[in-house]
Amino acid sequence: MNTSPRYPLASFRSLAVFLVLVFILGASPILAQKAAPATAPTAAQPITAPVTTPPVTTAPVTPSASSVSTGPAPLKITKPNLSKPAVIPYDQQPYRISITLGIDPALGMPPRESDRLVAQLRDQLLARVGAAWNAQVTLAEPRDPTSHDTLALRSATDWTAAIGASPIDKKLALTLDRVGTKYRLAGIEWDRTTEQITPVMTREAFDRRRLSVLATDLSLALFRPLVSVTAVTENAVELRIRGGDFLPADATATPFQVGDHLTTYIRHYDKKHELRRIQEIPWSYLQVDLVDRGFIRATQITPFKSPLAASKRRAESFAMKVNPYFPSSTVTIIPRGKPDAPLAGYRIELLNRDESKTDPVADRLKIRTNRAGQVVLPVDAAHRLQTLIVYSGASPLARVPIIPGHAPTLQLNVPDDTPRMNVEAETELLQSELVDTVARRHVMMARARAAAQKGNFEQVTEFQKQISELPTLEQFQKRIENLRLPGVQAARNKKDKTQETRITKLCDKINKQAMEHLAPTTLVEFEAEMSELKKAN
Amino acid sequence: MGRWARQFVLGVAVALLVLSRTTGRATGQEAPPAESTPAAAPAAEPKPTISEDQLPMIGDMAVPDAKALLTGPLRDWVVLITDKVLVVESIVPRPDTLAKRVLEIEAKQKSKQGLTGDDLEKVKQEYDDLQYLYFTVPEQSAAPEVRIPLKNIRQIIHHEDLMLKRMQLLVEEGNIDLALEFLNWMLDKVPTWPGLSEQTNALLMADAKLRIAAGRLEDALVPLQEIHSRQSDYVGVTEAVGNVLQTMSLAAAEQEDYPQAHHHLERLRALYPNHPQVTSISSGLEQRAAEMLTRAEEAYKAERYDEAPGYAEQAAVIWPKLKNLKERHKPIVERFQRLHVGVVRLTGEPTAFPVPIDAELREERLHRTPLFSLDRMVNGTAQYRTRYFSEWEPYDLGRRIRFELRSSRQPWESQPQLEAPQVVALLQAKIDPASDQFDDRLADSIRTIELKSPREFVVSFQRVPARIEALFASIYPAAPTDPMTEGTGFRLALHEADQVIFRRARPEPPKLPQYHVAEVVEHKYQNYDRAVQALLRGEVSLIPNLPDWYIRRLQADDDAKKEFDILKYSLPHTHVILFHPDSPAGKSRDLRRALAYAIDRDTLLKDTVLRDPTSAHGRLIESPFPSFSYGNSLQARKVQFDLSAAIAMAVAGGQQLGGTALPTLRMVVPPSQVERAAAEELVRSWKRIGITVEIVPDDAGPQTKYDLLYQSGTFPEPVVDWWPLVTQSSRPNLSDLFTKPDWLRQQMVDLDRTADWTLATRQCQELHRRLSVEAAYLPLFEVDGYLVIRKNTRGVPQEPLHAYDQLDRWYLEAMLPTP
Repeated sequence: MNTSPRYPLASFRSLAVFLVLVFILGASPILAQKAAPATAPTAAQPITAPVTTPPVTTAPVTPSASSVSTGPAPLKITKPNLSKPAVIPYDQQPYRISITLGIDPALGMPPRESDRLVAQLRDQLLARVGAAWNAQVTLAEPRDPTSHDTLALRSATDWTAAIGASPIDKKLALTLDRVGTKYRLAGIEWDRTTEQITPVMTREAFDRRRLSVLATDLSLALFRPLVSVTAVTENAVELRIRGGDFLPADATATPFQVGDHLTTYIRHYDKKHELRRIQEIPWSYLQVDLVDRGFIRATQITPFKSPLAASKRRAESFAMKVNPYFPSSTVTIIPRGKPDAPLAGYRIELLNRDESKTDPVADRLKIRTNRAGQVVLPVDAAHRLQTLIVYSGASPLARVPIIPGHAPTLQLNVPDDTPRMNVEAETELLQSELVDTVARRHVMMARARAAAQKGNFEQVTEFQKQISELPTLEQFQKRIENLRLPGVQAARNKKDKTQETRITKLCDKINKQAMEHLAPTTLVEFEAEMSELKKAN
Repeated sequence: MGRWARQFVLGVAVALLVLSRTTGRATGQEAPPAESTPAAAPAAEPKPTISEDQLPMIGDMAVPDAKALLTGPLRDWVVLITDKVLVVESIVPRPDTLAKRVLEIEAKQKSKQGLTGDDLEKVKQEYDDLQYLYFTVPEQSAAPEVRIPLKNIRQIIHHEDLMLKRMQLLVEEGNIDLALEFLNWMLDKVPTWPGLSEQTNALLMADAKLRIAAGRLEDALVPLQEIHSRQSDYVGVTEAVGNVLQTMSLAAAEQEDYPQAHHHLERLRALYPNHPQVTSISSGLEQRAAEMLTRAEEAYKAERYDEAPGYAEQAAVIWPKLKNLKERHKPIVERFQRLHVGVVRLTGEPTAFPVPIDAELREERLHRTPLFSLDRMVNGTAQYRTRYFSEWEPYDLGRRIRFELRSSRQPWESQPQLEAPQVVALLQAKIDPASDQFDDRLADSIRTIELKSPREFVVSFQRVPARIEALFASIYPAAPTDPMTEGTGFRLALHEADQVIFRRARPEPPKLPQYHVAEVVEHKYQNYDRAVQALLRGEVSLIPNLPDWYIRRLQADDDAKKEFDILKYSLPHTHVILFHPDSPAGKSRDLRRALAYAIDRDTLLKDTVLRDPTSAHGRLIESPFPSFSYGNSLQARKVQFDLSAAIAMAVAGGQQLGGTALPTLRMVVPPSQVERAAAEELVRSWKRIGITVEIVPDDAGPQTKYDLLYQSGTFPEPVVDWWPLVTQSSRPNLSDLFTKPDWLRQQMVDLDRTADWTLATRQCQELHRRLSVEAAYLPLFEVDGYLVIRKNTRGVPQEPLHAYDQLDRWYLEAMLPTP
């Protein structure tokens, strides 16, 4: 529900006169508006002109026309087309944005000042953004946050519930309070498509006259432009920018540039086209390769195979620009199925680009997870998109793209490597025993030969007995099999073929070593040699 | 030719001459008995070849020298009535040859009575024959036999008499050693020779005098006591003994070694009960003791309670028989109790050991009390106690624990009294990564800490620990700003070269019915022998860690058992070798195996550590934990002694390290006698297989680099103790495991995360099994330790955990030294 801005008294009288005239003429847009149901179309529906509810602005709005409702709307009476809904291309759909400014009462700002501030904000946004935004800038309702702290307390769910079904696509909630002697502007952006909010961002100033400029900057910084996925081929993705056809007057307000990154979402609907869930595709980004007005071509960077598809009726694919709001991100690495056992002390490498066998990356940040399985990844302004590799021993467990700073915390689920690790441990121990056995056998054989040379065959017999008591190849192989089978089975239970292969490799390696060094032929030859020597004596 | 030889020749000549003349006379005076044969012309007697004129005068004869007397042939001097001397071979019978011959003659005379005819003639002949003495003149080849009428012989000076004479001369010269040789000769050959006893006494006295002159008073007592035992009234011995013992007694008293002074006094009293010096010394000591006790009482009245006991103890030592000593001494020493401990090393002495051990560990235990302390072992599991909390109640399935601090403490308790904000601040520092107190493990366990009230706080865990007490047992409250009021155990009050004093930081308030140990005085002794001596003499009341052979001796001594309690520590001392992760041994499993194979642990335990072939108080172990610990796995690989295998693995280890020769390894060892001896044996064992290990000297300091660490201590709780054993770091930081294999790191982390005790036990055992195969450490043995403490010390736990276990509740019953 649009709320009219509060005007000074003179303006109000003019409006009243106007409305009377219009009423008399019977073509009052207000009346038309009143005739429309209060509920805007749900965000789940594609933005088309509904049959019963004419949008606030149904006609294509040229960039020069004021898309910010600043006062009495121009008298343009069009007849609603009730027979067929008009499908407006996505890139020609401006954002319906509600921008509210909550001013802390403790500031003691007179209403005139606050209204002026709102008006300035409105004007500046209009001037910089233009028709891409259909924004209503108002002072916040009493129940809305009026300070940074109260703003920070609200979650995305709170905002979704508060905003409800009102016909807005985005909400920019700004607050103004004071910190010491400084004014502090704080804000969040809530997005209907993803039902997420940004973290609280702030701007500060000593001079009140700068507030409107700061508020404008803040609003633009918070704003996350949306795109719709129109086509996906291999790794290339074609997208349409919401309102992209409306080029902003201020170039800095251009929504996308080459090199920007986006995160992807899928909105799933039921048969009645009611939203069932919103799925963010994790660890997947789009990198903008080409921007042409409302069109984007991007590359998909993802560890998954084809997670993204073009929008369909029951699954709409969107993407939203990624802004690293935080100086770093804390990533928690957890094995699948064991949320209480994060990987502590694991080796992590952060590369500023992905590597391949032909193109290795030498410069990499090497860190270890802490006891909580966490690493803190700093933002690299030069290379926003990084590659994170998690190692278990020498083998990589996971390799994912990541934009540090995008979210304060992230959780990465990796395969549970416990079976392989156990097998690795036991094979290492087996190997040490193998070395021990081989070394002792050799020494005993050497000593037996020396004793035989001296004719001391009692000692030879003693050594032979000791040699026979050493572990044999069969015993080692049995132990190896006792390792292999449960390990492989455990990996299969987890449906982890990679782990299964690694376990098999480990066991094969130790088996090979055992066969090489504990070959029965050595023993047979030795026994034969001793028998010969005994007979000769 | 020497003077003696010339005289000898002359003597021979004279002897022959004399013989010839006397034979003539004898022919005239004593005709040989007539025989039945017709009278024939008397047989011609041999012509004398010795002229008396050629014999020397007795005055000209010098006593033969020592060598001639001791090593030369026995020679007697026959002194004639003309004072001429004939030197002859030794004569029998001896001594008193002449007297014995006279007796024979008299007997023969008597035997003539009643005889007739041939019998009478025969006896007469024998009688006549007895009138002569026959001698053999040495070196007289022709007719060496001579006879001299008895009446011509004034005296016979035997060889032994000459020896006595020479002894006397030697004594007069002060050549006691040579004189003793004479004495020994005579005691061996002729112990009853007349004059020997007197000469012996003279010799002993002379010896004593020489020793006294040389200042060797104790040594002088040996000959003096010998004289006393032989002849207590010998001239001069009473005075000499008195002087010596008096001097020694007074000297000891001057040095304040009163037991020694008493000892000498008692010796004098035993020898001469009525000696005037006995009374003199006794009254001197008594007076001194009385003065000391008076000072003690003055200090006590002036409430200088820390000063008074020193004087009172001193008074008791000076003169234990002082009148009313017991009544006056008791209140003073029981008001401010001083525990005297005998040690061989004091805190602060140089050591290269990187962690507190021995004296430093004792100091730490006196000074600080952790939030939870080990109380006892029950079926291999540690049980804890706390001085700080009245309650610690888990709820929410253990995810939260509410701690309630005690609101008061006993007057004798020495730990600080904590409030909840202090503990909360302490814990927060432990979980704050920016703090230097940061504890990785604790930070991972604790989610939040909430302060509820000045006495209560709640800890929420993100991981429920298996044993919260074990986790908190390594947390010590911060040092208080005012130890006097807040208390912090016993603080170092005095540090000297031979003693260290720890004093209760917060004194007990006045007017208590019972006081407790206020001071611990550690006295340093050169070695354990001296320490045990001090214990038996009453100088000290406790010795913390005596080597086993002393313990067994004391246990076999009934008198010692009446006076002392010999308490077995509840945890045995484990001896284990750890490997520094960065050292070649730390990196090479084969080298570690080689080091393990090379040691005959059984022999080392029996011969060096315990000196007991039955090894009654020691056992071989396969893990760093006590043999009864829950953390031990039966499947662990046992350490075997096998030199061939050791050599083989040493070669393999060298190859593993790159094929170069093995470097010399450095081992740090605790500064204790037993461990040092064991370490030296280990070094010798390893040398045999070509691995050189050197023991780092103590003055290298605790920051020195090392490859091996000979660790000896107690490890009661595998759940938390595995960490420092694997990483050799006092704090459980994850970063210490980065160089370890992944499986080990993961197992250690999993162990920290486990909440279930049964699972934790299994994990400990699994760690044990794997680490034993890895040879990650080299277990040697565990040895039962004992605390020897005087029975007048009360409140000591029957199975103490360490030497000063719950010391602040001990109290001493006043005891006087045994007079």
